[in-house]
This record gives sequence, C-alpha cells and structure tokens, in this order.
Amino acid sequence: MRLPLPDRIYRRLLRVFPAEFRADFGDEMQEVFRDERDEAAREGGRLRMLALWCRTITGILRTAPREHADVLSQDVAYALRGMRRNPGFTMSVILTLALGIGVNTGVFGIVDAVIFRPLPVADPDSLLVLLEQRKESVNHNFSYADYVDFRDRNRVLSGLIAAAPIGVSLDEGGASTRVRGEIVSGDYFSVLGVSPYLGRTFLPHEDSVPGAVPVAVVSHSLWRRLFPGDRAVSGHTLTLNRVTFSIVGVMPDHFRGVSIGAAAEVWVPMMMQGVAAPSEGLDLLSQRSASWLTVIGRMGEGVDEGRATAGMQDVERQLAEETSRPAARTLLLAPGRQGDSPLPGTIRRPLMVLWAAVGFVLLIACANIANLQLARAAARRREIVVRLSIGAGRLRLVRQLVTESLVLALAGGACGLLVATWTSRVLLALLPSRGDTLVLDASLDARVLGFTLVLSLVTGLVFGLVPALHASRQDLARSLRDAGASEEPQRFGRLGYRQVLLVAEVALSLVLLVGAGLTFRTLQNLRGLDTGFDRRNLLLVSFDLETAGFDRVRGADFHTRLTGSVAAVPGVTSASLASVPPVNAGGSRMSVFVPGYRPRPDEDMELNLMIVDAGYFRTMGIPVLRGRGFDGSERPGGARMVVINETMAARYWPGDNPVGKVIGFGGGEGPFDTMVIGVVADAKYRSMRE
Amino acid sequence: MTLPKPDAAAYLPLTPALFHVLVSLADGDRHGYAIITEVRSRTAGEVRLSTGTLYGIVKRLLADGLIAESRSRSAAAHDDQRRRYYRLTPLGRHVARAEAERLDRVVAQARAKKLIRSVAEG
Repeated sequence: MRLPLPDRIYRRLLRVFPAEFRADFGDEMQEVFRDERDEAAREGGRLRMLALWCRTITGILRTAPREHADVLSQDVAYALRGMRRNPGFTMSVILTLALGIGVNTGVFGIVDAVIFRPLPVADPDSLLVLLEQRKESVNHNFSYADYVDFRDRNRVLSGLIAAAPIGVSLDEGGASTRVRGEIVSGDYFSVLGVSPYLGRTFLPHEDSVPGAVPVAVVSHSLWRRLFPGDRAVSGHTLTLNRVTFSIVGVMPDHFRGVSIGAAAEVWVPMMMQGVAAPSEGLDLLSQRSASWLTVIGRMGEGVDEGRATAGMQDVERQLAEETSRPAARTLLLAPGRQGDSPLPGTIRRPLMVLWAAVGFVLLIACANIANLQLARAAARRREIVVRLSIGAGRLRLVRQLVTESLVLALAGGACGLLVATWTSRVLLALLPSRGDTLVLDASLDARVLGFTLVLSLVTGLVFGLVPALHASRQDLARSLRDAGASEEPQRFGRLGYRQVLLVAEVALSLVLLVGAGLTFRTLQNLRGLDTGFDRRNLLLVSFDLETAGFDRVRGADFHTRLTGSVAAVPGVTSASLASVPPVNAGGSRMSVFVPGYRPRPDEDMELNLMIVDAGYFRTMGIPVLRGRGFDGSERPGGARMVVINETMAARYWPGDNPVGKVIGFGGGEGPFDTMVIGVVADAKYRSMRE
Repeated sequence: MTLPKPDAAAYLPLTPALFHVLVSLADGDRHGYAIITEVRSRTAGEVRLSTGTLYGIVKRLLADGLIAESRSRSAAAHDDQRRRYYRLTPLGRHVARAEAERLDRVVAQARAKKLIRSVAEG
C-alpha cells in the first residue's frame, strides 16, 4: 500500500538521521507524526498544520547533526582504541604519512608563494606588467621617460606605476648594512591600493623635483628593527647611502614590494634616483636609452587585456613617430597579479616537477598503507564478520573503517606540519637566486594549513576506502564457518587487490626513479659542459663600492689594493675584477657600430659588455687567440680599447684579422674611437644554455 | 541487596525539554505521542516538543538508563500494538527529583533576593 503524501515526505525528512537512529526510532516517529497530524486536522486550521510542519522540520534539522556527531565520536573513539592496541602499525602509518604529507605541504608552501599567491594589493587581477618585445627577446625594463609618456598618454589604464629594485646601505649605529628596497613612482602605493600600517605614503610634491625631498616608506620588519614598539612615525629618519631620509610611513607586515622573493625593506620616490639608485653619476630620469624600470598598470573600468594592449601599442606608435625612433619593439602586456618578478618564470618548471615528484611519493605512501590496511583487515576478519552478523550495516562498517583511516591520516598530517617547516626551509636555501638571498613567505598560513587538511583527508580516503570496501564484502556464512582458516584473496579482475596495489607502487616508484635518473643525467651534462673558462678552484666575491660612498679615485685605488692583497694570499694564483660575474643572468648590453658593416634592417646590434681588468683572462683561464689582452697600462681618459670574442670577430670581420680595427658605441656615423686589441675564445656569459 | 545508587549530580543540570520528558513519565508509562501532548497541556502550550527533538531525547535517556521500554500496555482499546511505551527507571526518578530540587533551590534564592514574591505573599 502506498503511503499518503505527508507520510512519504516525513519519511524522506528522516533520512537526514544516521541509519542506526532511523532503524531504532523511524517507524515510531512516523506513527507519532501521524497522530499529531490527525490532531491538527481535527482541531482545524491550516495554520496549525503549518505550525506543525515548521516545528517538525526544524526539530529534525536541529537533532540530526547531534546524532551524526554521536556516531562520529563513537567511531573516532573506537579508532583511537584500535590505534592504541596496535602501536607498531599506528606508528609506522603515522610516520609514513607525516613524511608524505609534510614534504608535500612544504613544497606547496613555496609553490603557493611563488606561483599561486597574488600580490597582497587591491584587486591584483586587474594589474598588467608592461613588456617590450624585440626580435627574439622580451625585456621587462623601460626608461623613466618612456614610463612618463605611457602614463600620461594612455586612455586604457586607471593607473601606471614604475619601480626598480635597489640595494642601499643603511647606517645603523655607526655600522652600515645593505638593505633591499624599491625606488618607485609617487603614485605606486595608491595605484596598488596598499594602505600604510603607520603614517602615510608619498605625496605628489615628493616625487616632482629630482633630489628635492628625501622621504622614505619602510617595511614593518625594518620599522620594528629600527624603532621597536614606536607607533609615531613623524620625526624618525634613516640614513641611506649617506643621505638622511625622513620616514613618512610604515607598510603592513605582508607587503614587500612588487617583486616576489626580493622582499623590499624600504621605498623611496623616483626623484631620489641620484641617491638611492646611483649609476656612475648618470641622471637616469632623463635618459631615454636607460631601461631600468618595471612598469605595472591597472586596467581601467570596463577595459580588458586586449583593449589595454591595443591602447598601449597606440601610444608606443605615436612615440616612435615623434621621436623618429625605429619601431624595433612591440609593447606587450602580461598579467600582473604576481607583480613583476623574474622568479616565477625561472623556477616555475623545477618547482612544478618537484611538486609532482613529491605527489608521487605520497601516492606510493598511500599504496603502501593501503596494503598494510588490507593485511590488517585480514587479521581483523573475525571482528568484522562478527559485527556484520550482529546486524551492523555494510555502510556503517565502511564508515567505521574509513573513519579509522581518516583519524590516522589527520594524525599523520599534524605530524607532517613539523616535516613541512623543515622542508620549506631546506628548499628555500636550495632555490636558485641571483646573488641576493631569496626571501619568500612560506610560513604555515591559513592557505597552507587548509591544503594540509584537505590533503590529509583525501589521503585518508585514498588509502582507506578500498581496504574498507574490500573488508566489508564478506560472505557471512562462509566466513563464520572458516574464520581462522586461511583467507582466499579477493579478486580484482585476475589479480588480488594487494597485487594491484603492489603493481601501482612499483610503477610509481619506477616513474620517480626514471625522473631522478634523467635529472641526474642533466646535472652531469651541465657539469661536463664547456663554459669556455676554467671553473676549477675559482672563487667569487661581489661588492658595491658606489653605494658604500667610494668615488672614482678612491674606488680605483681600492681595486688595485684589493687584487694585490688577494693575489698575495698564499695559494692564490691570480685575482682579477669584472663588472659582471661569469654566467650571470644580468649584465649590461650596448649597441655596437662597425665602420663598413651594413646591419640587416631588423638586426639586433646590442652585445654583452663586460668591464674587466688586466688579470681577468689569465684568472679565468680564457685563452687569448689573437693580439693581446689588457696589460694594466690602460688609463681612464686614455686610448679606448676592447678585447672581443671569436663569435664577434667572425660576425664583423669574417676571414679577416680584427686586431687593430676600430668600432664605436655612438651610432652608425661614428665616432669609431675604440680599438680592438685582441680576440679571446668564446665562453658562457649569461646562461649555460647559450 | 541494593545496588549502589549512581550519583544523580553527574546528570545535572538537565535541559528543560529533557526534564519535561522525565516529568511527564513521573505518574505513569507513556508512548511518544502521549508524552508530547502531556508536556504541551501541562505547560499550557508553552513547551511543544517535535518528534525529532523527542526521540533525540528518548535515545539519550534510554542509553543513560534514565528511562526504559515498558511492557505494560494501556487498556485503551484503540491503542496500537506497535507503539512503544516508556517508563521512568529508579535512576531516572532519582535524577528527575534531584533536578526538581535544584530548580527549587534556585527559585528559593531568587525569592530571598526579592526577585519574585513567594506564593503566600502573592
């Protein structure tokens, strides 16, 4: 007989209760509800009926969660008892999981900081980074003059900022320390939408006259270091590159500039370039040829990336026409939600590979534990069969067994957090960085903790579900009869579950082994690669005299004395100086002009340029093939001389001896005032892939 | 031989709904619907238990041994044989009394502070 509609609805409602509760009280509740309904109908009134339904529904919704929590707490208590009874099994599972989950969490912390987490600014998704594409290279830097034109002429961006990383020396109680920072356009903070923690950000007049107003905004960590506990900004100063700056504001803790990993401590307005970013006395603010600024824009209302790009390219075309500059470059806009940092690009691939590898390790751990669980299920067979035979539903049993796995996984995840802090610390130290230490916030924040929680739960399901389903599928009669006799393995196709797990484990391990082998091979190849210089026993030291307040004369004197005293150290065979260390992604490039050489219309005439001293080629073990190297007789203001490499010789003077030829840096019409005095063998300059 | 009495204080205080269920069983065994109607009429409609709330309480009271299923049936002819009746166990009676005394003490204190007037003065 079909139940009346209200009864059917009520039966449906009862489904929110756990099965046991329904089995115990469902019919009775249905009965009572029918009585109540009859009464409401007798005493009349739709209103009473409505009130009854409301009361019933809210009653059920209020009671059901508590009943579920009861079941869960029983299951958890049961699981904990079971874990205590088998300390060996429990410890090995928890330790395996702690390693697997911990390493994954640690790597995720860094992956998140480098690849996923946007800049802590307002609406990071509407930020775009300006790039310039030349024939084959994409450059991230623009001149200040370009920036100003882009900012003032475009109609597609609601704001455009410029910034460059700087390293300044900070006077701290007599000693000077190097501090990283950013030199920024006056509207930097307002366009990014970052509010100061204390004080204010820059005012328009503080970024309008070069060198006029030395003001600075500092990071929260620098503020705490210099003025612990102080909450009043006004009156505080700091000395950067021997100039006193007034501190006007303090940034909140999480904001460290627009370059991930560079962790700025201090921000100064663009107009302080002469002090904060000195470049051999050059005024970088007026030179259109000096590209040194990262430019980031915010899309205006209703503007998408395509329109913004088109708009900026229009501006670039106008500029090219007005300045009669060859249109050798195309402007591009890239998503700027992570700001502009060389970091994500360079370590994205290795990080993703690492993440996948540790993911595999966790999967192997899961397969391992699932195998242990299956073995244990065989041992617990009697318990399971007894529970099934006294009426526990299969679903109930699976729920119980999965709960046990989840409790184990959560315990493993909690221990894994310890492993995670260790992993991220080690990984941070190993990540490639360019000279400066990488400062990433890979602390265990809410995102990372959430990741660990989800990962633990998923892990628990992965290694718990199959064994649970398997264990609960017992043939009751036969099992009771045979209990204690040897178990016939359950089949999964033609293989047992445990064999399938084993195969999976071996396959995953193989993938990891092959990956590790290939990586090792690549490393070996890199080691064997000919860099063109002798890497053996080569040591490198970097320093910056300009920010330390040395002028040209004192600097030159320091250089001479330094190389002299280093070379005098017992065991040192030679010492030399270079403007750029070998195989460094940075370094300067300049356009070179050769008399009589007709460049193709779009030929890139920029070459890498290094300034080196007389001992350089000898120290590096780079052979001089023709002519000579520098001999120390070169003087400032004297004859201009260069040593070129084989590639350049073959490009401009094929089949000819370049020694004694002249080149120029001024333009196609000369002057050609620099003489080639020698040719050296090729080496690697910017990267090992050259 | 008497069993040692479990300490009633361990169960106190009771939630109002739970206390009302115990009180409704104090003068006789009742089935679920009867408990609901008894509580409603005794409190003049102030406390209306829903089926969900009632059986959540019943489950807990059964588990704690404060009530038990009763084998005696009401004489009423129309009574459904499927209905389950519940009765107060000695422990349940003990706990209900302890709760009533606790409430009584609370009321007495309120009265002493002149928060409410005593019935005699009323």
